[in-house]
Amino acid sequence: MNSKMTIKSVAGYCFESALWKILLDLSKDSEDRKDKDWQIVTPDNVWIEGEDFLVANNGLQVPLKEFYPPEGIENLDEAGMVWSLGALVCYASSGHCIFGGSGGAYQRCHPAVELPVLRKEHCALTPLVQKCLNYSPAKRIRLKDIHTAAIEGLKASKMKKRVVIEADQPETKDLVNVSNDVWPEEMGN
Amino acid sequence: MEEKNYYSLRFLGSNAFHTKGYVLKTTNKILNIGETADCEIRYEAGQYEPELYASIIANDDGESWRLVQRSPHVSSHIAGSGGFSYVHQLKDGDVIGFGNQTMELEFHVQHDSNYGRTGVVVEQRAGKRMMAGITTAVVLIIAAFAAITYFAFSDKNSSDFTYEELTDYLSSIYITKVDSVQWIHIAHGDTSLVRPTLVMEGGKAAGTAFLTTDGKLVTARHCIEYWIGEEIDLTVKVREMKDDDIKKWAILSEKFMQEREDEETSQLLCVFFSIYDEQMPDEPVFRYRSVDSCVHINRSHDGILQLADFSDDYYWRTVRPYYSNQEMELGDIVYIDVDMTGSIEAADSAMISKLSQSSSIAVLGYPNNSSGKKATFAAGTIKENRADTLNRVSPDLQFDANITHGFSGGPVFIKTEDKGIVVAGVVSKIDTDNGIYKKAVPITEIYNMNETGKEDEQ
Repeated sequence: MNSKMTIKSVAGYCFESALWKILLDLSKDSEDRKDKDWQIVTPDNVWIEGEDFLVANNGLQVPLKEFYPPEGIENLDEAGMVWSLGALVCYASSGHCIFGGSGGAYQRCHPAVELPVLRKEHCALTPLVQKCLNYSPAKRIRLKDIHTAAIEGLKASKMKKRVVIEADQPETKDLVNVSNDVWPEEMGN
Repeated sequence: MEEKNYYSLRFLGSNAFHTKGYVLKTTNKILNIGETADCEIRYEAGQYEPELYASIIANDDGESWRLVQRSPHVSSHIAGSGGFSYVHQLKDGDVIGFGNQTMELEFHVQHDSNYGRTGVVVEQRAGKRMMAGITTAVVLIIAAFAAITYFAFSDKNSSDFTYEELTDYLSSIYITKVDSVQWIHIAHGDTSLVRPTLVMEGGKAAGTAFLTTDGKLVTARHCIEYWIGEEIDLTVKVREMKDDDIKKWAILSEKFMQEREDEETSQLLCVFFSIYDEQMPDEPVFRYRSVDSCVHINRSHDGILQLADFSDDYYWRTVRPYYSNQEMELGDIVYIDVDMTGSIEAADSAMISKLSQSSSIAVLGYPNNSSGKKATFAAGTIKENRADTLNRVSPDLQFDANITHGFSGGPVFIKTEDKGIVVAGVVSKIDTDNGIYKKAVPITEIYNMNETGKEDEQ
């Protein structure tokens, strides 16, 4: 058994700050990257080393097509990597590949397809992820901007623990009373 | 019989749910550990919201397991190798611990004939242990009930308000009820109904209102637009929502308003609501529509929760939304200009600014749809005065009176040197972050409100 842990090992079970950390780690040093450094990130080629997420070197793992951007991986550039990063975060959040596992190929055929929305616990990342998954490479967010957003997101996601409210009170957000009475008669037009 | 690996967890300590030395044998694909009800290995919850600590998850081969961290707050650790942030590949003999909990679990991979046909190994001593667990749980429940009773009935606040002091104001306390919500279309001044009646979730919403000496009938905004602040399941598309889901119509009308450039046409959700006197619980004193010009709704804290561009369904106007915590923030106030005056005088900002921790307050309201009865009295103290509007987005007063559903919109009274008893706030919500405190919107917000919600957006 290979004890190397990858994102696949935690997919579907991540808490919010872990997702921000993935974005933070995989978007760093973007200014220093050269053309050949851009690569598709997939669950298998992002390893977990202690608190860090590290990308395996190119060629060590064959990228999964589920993480190919709609424009393909020939002439892969920053935008292509950004798309795969967005797809990776969706996978880490839900445990499932986006677009039913068809990846960017599906988006290529359906450019107006609705972009995924992360589940409730991770919804703070949805706007950023959707910017990563924009059909148009030119409109996608830059890696350095992802990095900046991830720093802020990580900071914001470190929420304090929530104190339990009184045991005889239901957990409710407001005090409005909702009854199951029948409706009164309709009023006017 | 097929022999496969399974694993055992030996409890090296004990708590309310487990006994020292107990061995759990299982092949569960996912075994949850923590404080929540779905945890097979359960720890006692403290003062904080119960959490799921970690899960033991089978690897693809089904015969080895990994421990996945599920909480950012309670760290998992392996004896001898320290903590880990996200995931740890479990090895035979690992001793697992969590946070400051003293109980540890010893993990062992097993390979013998005890592997059951269904893959789940039945623990033979479970019955006896279960009885011990149930007995302990019953004792704990009794202890918890005793503690709750003690705190509920003991005089834990130092409020010097009495019910008798507020009897003069009872005639100015009313019950609010939403009768129906309709979706209306307004074009060049003409109004037409798009949907005559929208069924509301759960029935009628009801709260409390009060009448001030200057002719303002005041209540909480969420007593009228009761969907404000509701958590929205963002994974559900508008077209997938049920027909009777009020949020669907709120989103659709918001989307329409966003897309229209001309201001001659609009589509709005119109709430029809009634105000009742306790003396006549079946006959409303007033009836209003939320679009009436006399109804002033505070939209100064409204923001747009934008999750996509204009072509998408995800539009929602709510009160100061936060993505990870879509709780209703304050600014939760409505007033209606009426042709009569009440007996309740509103405090000014100077009076409110003098409120300090332990200042006495009292609340009147109609909890749990108690129309036809006298308004219920609840006394308490201020816990935090955050009414400084210069520095805060959402000014509020936090207090600790024992109130519940139906008090929303009710007056929070204070005593002043100059004017005696005046109203300082409008009951809004339970503060789920800080647990026991309730929040009120300062009454002075009615003079600061911006009804359009546009100018203050940042």
